[in-house]
Amino acid sequence: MQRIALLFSVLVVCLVNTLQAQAPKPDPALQKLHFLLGHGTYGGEAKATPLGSAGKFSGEQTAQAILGGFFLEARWTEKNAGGANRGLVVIGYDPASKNYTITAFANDGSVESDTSTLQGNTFTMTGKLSFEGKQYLTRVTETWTADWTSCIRKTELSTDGNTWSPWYESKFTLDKAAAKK
Amino acid sequence: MKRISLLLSLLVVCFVTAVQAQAPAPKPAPELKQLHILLGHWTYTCDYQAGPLGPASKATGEYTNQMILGGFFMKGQWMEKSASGELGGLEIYRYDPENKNFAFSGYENEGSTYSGTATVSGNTVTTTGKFFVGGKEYSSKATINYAADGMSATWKAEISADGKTWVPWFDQPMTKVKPAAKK
Repeated sequence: MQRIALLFSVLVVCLVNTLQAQAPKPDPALQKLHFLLGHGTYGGEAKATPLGSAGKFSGEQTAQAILGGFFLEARWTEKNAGGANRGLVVIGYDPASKNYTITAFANDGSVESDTSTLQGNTFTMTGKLSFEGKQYLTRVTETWTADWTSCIRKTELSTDGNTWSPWYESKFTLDKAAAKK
Repeated sequence: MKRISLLLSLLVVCFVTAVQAQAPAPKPAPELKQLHILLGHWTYTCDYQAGPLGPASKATGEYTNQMILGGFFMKGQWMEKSASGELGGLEIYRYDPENKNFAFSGYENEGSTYSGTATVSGNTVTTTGKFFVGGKEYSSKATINYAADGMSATWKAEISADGKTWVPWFDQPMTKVKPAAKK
């Protein structure tokens, strides 16, 4: 009887291990983004666009892994020419298209949905921004330093996909960059 | 002439500042109030039917909805337990003034995502959308009927692998545990 119980236990352990082995795991491409986790600050300057007036802005962002590590969530607060702004970003990875997916929700009601590729240390994003019932197209290039602690972000905006205008440029620095000094 | 230019510049600066100060901050669309029927903390049992996503199963869960980011969005978080383990997710609803409906995006803790649109008519919420799981895309549609007192609801969903043939997906009665906090 003991032998049967032992055999049964072994089978159960094997079954559990098999099921655990089959449980989906976050794509390594998403884990590549874990350098973003934690707190960082940014500052930059925006051009006048239909989205707002020209001026300098500064803000901070905190990012964490959520939902079993399948997504990253970042929250930001910002001061800019129009006042203050805050929002929430959810970042995922689509293995089928091999793109990162980024959706940002802001407290002015705007929503920006981007797809992004990473080559070397540069993210290239294209997306759509919806604000007050109007749609805009966005293009973003984000170039990170070799140690992945800060980046320069350059953005453009278009209403028709043909004519592009500079939107804003900013520098983002993770706190770990300061800690290294 | 320089004085006139200086004066003009000052006037322009004052005007721009005044315009910026007077620019009204965007306000949430009144239609978002239609979502308030969903707010609060809910418990549910879910009866999954056998279908393209797997065999029949039962789950129990909790679902919490709250308005976020100045009331422009509704954030829902849910977690359920079944024989196969725990499944949880996060979803965000917003109003789309162009299409005059609600759009939602959802994310689950095994990597799947979903998105779609919803309309609210009285105490009934109707959704249609796409569900992306394991590299495959499915179509989904659902109806959530809320009781007149808003304290219970029944969520019935269907799923399709090809957008043509629909099969029942799940049947989910829900009970509100406590009313949404007043804002």
